Amino acid sequence: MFMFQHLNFSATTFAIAILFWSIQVLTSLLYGKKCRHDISAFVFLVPSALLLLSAISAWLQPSIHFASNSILMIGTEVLSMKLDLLSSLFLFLLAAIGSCTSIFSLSYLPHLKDHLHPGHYWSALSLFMLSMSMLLVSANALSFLVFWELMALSSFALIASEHQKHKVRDAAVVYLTATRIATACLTAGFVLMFSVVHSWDFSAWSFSRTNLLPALLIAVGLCIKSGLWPFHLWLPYAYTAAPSPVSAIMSGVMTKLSLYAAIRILVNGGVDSLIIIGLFLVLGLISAFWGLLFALVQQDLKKLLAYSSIENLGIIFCGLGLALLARRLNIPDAACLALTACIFQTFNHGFFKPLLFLCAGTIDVAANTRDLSQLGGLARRLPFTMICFLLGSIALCALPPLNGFASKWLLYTALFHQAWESPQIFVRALCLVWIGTLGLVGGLAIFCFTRAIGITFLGNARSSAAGNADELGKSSRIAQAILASACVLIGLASPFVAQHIQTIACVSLKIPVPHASPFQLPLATVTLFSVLAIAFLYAFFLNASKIRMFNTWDCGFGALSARTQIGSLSFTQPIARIFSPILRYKLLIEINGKDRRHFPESIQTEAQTISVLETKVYLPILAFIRRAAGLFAKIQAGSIHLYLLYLCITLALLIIVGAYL
Amino acid sequence: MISLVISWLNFFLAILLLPPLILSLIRKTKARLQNRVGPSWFQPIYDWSKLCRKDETLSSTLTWIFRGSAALNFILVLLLALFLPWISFKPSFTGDDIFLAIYVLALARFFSLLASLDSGSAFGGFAASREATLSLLVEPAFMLALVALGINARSSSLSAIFSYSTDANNQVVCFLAGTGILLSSLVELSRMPIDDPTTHLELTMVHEAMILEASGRNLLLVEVSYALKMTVLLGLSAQCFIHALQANIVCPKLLLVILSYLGILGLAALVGLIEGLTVKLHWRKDPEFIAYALTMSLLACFISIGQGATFK
Amino acid sequence: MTATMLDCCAIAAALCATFMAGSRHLKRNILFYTLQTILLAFATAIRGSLQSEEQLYLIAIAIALLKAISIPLFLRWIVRKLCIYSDPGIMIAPPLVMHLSLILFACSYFEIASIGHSKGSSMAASASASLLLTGLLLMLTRRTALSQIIGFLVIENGIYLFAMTQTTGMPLIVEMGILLDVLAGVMIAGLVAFRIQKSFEHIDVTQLAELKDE
Repeated sequence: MFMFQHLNFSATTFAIAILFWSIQVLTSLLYGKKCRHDISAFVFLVPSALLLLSAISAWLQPSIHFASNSILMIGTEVLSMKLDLLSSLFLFLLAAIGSCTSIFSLSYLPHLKDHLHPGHYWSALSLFMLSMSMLLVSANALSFLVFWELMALSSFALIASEHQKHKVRDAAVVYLTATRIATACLTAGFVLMFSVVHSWDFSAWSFSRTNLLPALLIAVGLCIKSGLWPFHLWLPYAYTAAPSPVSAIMSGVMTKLSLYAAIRILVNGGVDSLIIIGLFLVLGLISAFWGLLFALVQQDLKKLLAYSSIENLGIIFCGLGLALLARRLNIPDAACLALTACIFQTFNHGFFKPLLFLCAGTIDVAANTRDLSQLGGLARRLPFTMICFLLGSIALCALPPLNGFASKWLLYTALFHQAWESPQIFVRALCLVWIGTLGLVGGLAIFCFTRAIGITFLGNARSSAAGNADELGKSSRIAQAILASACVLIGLASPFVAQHIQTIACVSLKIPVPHASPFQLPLATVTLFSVLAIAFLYAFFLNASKIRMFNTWDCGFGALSARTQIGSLSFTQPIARIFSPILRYKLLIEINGKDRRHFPESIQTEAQTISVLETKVYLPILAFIRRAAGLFAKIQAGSIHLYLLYLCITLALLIIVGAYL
Repeated sequence: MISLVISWLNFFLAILLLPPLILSLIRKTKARLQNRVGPSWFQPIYDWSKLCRKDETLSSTLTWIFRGSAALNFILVLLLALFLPWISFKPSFTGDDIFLAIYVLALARFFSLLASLDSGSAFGGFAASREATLSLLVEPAFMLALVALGINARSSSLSAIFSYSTDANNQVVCFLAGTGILLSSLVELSRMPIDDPTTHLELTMVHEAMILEASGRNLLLVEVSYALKMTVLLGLSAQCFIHALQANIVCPKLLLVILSYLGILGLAALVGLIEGLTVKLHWRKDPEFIAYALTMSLLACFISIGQGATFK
Repeated sequence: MTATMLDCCAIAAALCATFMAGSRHLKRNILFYTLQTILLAFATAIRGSLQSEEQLYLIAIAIALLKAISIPLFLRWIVRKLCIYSDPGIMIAPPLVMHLSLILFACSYFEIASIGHSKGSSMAASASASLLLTGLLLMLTRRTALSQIIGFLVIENGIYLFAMTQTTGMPLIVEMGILLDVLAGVMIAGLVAFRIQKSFEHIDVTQLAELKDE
C-alpha cells in the first residue's frame, strides 16, 4: 500500500496495523450481525499491539518522515507523514488504551446483547482507531483534516451504537453538531493559513503576530473539540450515551488529540499572541472549576466522570497557555516545566480516565444501573473493581504516589516559578490566582471522588440489584488491572517519564533540553517505606488485638437500613449550597399532613440544579437557529425547476466573484 | 557528628513528648478557665494505654478501607512530621516540597473520608460531607500561605523556606502567613470556632462523628495521629512567628530550640483559650471564618510578589 | 515619628476597612470603624510632627473626639434602638466582599505605583484609594440603611486620608467645616433610618424601590 522512502521497523509495523484495521472495517461490515464479539476483539488486539511496538520503536530513533506513493494524493499534495517523539507518545497512549478496551470488550459487550449491532460497532471502532493513528502521523494540513473528519464521523457512529434509545440519539446529534462546528473552525483556520504561507505542510507554518485570525480559529476549533468551557455541553451527553469502551477511548485519547494538534500546530508554529494565551488560560481555569463543580452534583456515575474530564482538559489547557506565556516572557525553564506538565497530565489522564470509565462500565452491567442513589455496598460484591476505581480516583485527585500527582506537581511548580521569575506584577498575581484556584479544584476533586467511591462501593446496598452484583468475566478484570498498574508504575517512575516528556516539550518549544529530570521528588522510596510500614502496622498492631463483629452503631434503635445512610445528594448539599449561584441549586421540600410541623405524614425532598449555560445561552441560540431555519425552509419548495434556478444563480455569482477576486 | 545525634535525639523527644503534652495543655487551660482542676497531665497517655489493651469492635458493614486508612493516616502524619519544618532542629530531607506536603495531607484526608463513609452510618456520612466541605474551602488558604513563604524565599523546598534569613520583608510575610496557617489549621484540625470536640450531639460534630465507629487499637491510631498532626500544624505556624521575630533579634541556636518548644505550647494554650472563651460558630458561618484565613494568606502573597516587580 | 509609621497607620486603616467588608455584625463594623478613625487621627498627628504644623494636632484631636467617639457612640445607640444587629448582605456574600476589597487594595497599590507620584507617599495614597473603594463596596453589598451610613463614613475617611497625605493640607477652618458636616449628616441619616424603621418596620434599602412612582 505504501512505498516508503526509508523502510524501517516502526514504519512497517505502523503500516501493517493500519492495513489490519482497514481490513477489519470491511470484514466487520460484511459479517454484519453475524460478527462475533470475541473474534473481533482478538482481531482488534493485533493491530493495537503492533501499534504499541511501532510507538516504542519510534521512540528509540530520530523522527521518521515518510511520504506515500503518488497513488495516495490529496489534490495536488502528497500524503506526507511524520513519526516523531510527540506523535509516538500519543500513538503509545492510543495503542495502550485501544488494546485494553478491546480486552475489556470481550466480557463487556456480550452483556449489551441486542442493543448493539456488532458489525457496525466493530467496523466503526476500527475506523476510529485507524483515523486517529493516521491523524497522529499526518504532517500536512489536508490529510490532517481528512482524518480529523473520519475520526469525528466514526466516533459519532460509535456514540450512536445503541441508537434504539432516544437519549442516545439526542446525544449523538449534540456531539455531531459540536464536532462539525469544530471542524468548520479548523478548516477556515487552515485555509487562511495556507493563503498566507502557501504550504499545507505543518513544519512550514509559523504564526507571527500578523497571523492572529487563523491561529485564533484553530485554537477555538480545538477548544470546542476538546470540550472546554463553554463548549463542554456535548461531552457529558456523548460519554454517557456511548458504550463504556468507547467512552474510555474518547476520553482517554480522542479529546487529547486536540492537545496534540495544539502542540503540533500552535506551539511549533510559535504562537505568542496574548489573545490565544489568555483564551487557553482563562477557559482552562474556568473549565477546571466548572467541570468539577458540576461533577459534584451528578447522579449518573458516567456523567460524573465526563464532567471531571472537562476539569482535566481545563488543567491541561492551562498548562499549554502557561507554557506559551512563559515563552513569550522569555522564561524558558518555566515554559519547559509548563509544557511538560501539560503533556504529562494528558498522558496520565489517558490512563486513569479510561480505567474509571471501564470500572463504571463494569458497575453499569453488574448492578444494572449507574445511578448513585441506587448503588452502594459494592465493595463486597466487586472487590477487584473497587481497588481499580480507588486507584483511578487517587490518580485523578492528583494524590501521591500515583501518576496524577507528578503532572499536577509540575504544573504547580511551573506556576510557582513564574510567580517570581517574571518581572511583571500582573503575571505574578495571575499565577497566584491560578495556584489558589487549582488548590480549590483539587479539594473539589477529593470531595467528588470520595463521594463517588463512598456512595458506590461503601456502606450498604441501596437497591437489590446492587446487592446482588457480580464481577464480569476475567478479561474485564485483566483490562482494568493493566490500566491500574500503569497508573501506579508511571507514578513511581515519574522522574524517568517526566524527563522523557521534557525532551518532547523542549523540542516543541525549540529550546535546549536540560539534562536533569524536572521531577526529582523521591516518591518511589518514600512510597516503598510507607507501604511497608503500613503493612507492618496493619498486620502486627491492628490485627493483633481481639476483634468482635457487631452492627454499625444504631443508637439502640435496631439494625440500620440502607436508607439511613447518607445519600448522594445529601453528601454534596453543603457544597452545593455554597456554590448555589453557579449551580442554580435549589432544595425543594414538601411536607404533607394535617399537623405538618409535628406529625408530618410524608416528606419529599428534591434537589434541583440547572446548567445555566444550557438553559440561558444554548437553548435561546438553538431556538433562534430553528426559527431562521424555518424561514430558510420556505426556499425549499420541492420544484426541480426552482432548484435549477438556484443552481444557476449560485454559479453565476461564483463566476462573478471569482472574476473580480 | 555529635550535634547531628543530639538534634535527632531532640527531634524524637519532641515527637514523643509534644503530642500528649499539647492535648493535656489544652484540657488544662480549658479547665482552669472553667474553675476546674482538670484531668491529670498524663491523662492522654492513660487513655491511650487503655485503648491499646482493649478489644476492638467492628461493624459487619466495614471493609478493609476502614482499618487500612487508620494505619495509612498514622504513617502519613509521621511522614509529614519528618518533612514539615515544625521545629527548628528538624533534620532535613531531600524532597521536602510544599506541594508534596499539601498533597500528603490531602491523601490522609481522602482516606479518612472514605473510612467514615465505610460503616454506612448516618453520623459518619454527614461528618464526612462536612469535613470535605471545610477542607475544600480551607485548601486555598493553606496552600497560598505556604506559597507566599516560598515565593519570598524563591524556593519550593521547605527547608530552604524556613532557614532563618534576616530579610526585613520576610518578617511581615512570615507573620501573615503564620496567622493564615494557624487559622486554617484550626479548621483542618476541627478545633473550636469550627467544631466543638466536646459536645454531646454527634450530628453537630465533624471530627468526632467521623471516628465514631473506631474502637480499640484502631481508635488509638486515630487519636495518636490526630495529636501528632495537631503538633505538626501548630508547630508550623509557631515556626512562622519565630521567623518573624528572628528577623529583628538574632537568636542563638539554643534559644531557637527553646522557642520552638514554647511556641507550640503557647499556640496550644491559645487553642485552649479560644475553646474556653468562644462558642462554636453556626455551620453556615464557617465559610466566613475561613475567609479570614484566606485574607491573611492573600495579604502575605501580595507582599511577597510585590518584591522587585515591575508594574507595567 | 517617621514617614513609615504614617504608612503603617494608613495600611492598618485600610485593613480595618477590609475586615469591615467581611463582617455582617453592625457592632463589629462600628468597632472597626472606630479603630480606623483612631488610626487616621494618629496619622494626622504624625503628619503634624513631620511638617511641624500645630494645627494638624488640633485636627487630630477633633477627629478623635468627633469621628472616633461621638459618631460610633451615636451609631451604637441607633443599633440598640433599632434592634438590628446584623446585615444579611446582598449580591455578594461578605467573605467574598472581603477578598474583593483585598484585591482592590492590591490593584490600587499597583496602579498608584505604576502612575508614579510627585509628593506624598504612594503607600498612603493606595491605602486611601482602597478605603474609598471598600467604602463603595460596603454600600453596594449591604442591605440595611445603617450599613450604608457606615460605608459612607469609610468613603469619607478615604477622602480625608488622601487629602491629608497628598497635599500640604487644607486650612483648619475647612477641615472643621467638613467634620461638622459629616457629623450632622450622620445624625440626620441615623434619625431618618430610625423613622424608616418606625414606618416600614424594616431598614432594608432594597425594598425602598417600592416607593417609586408606578
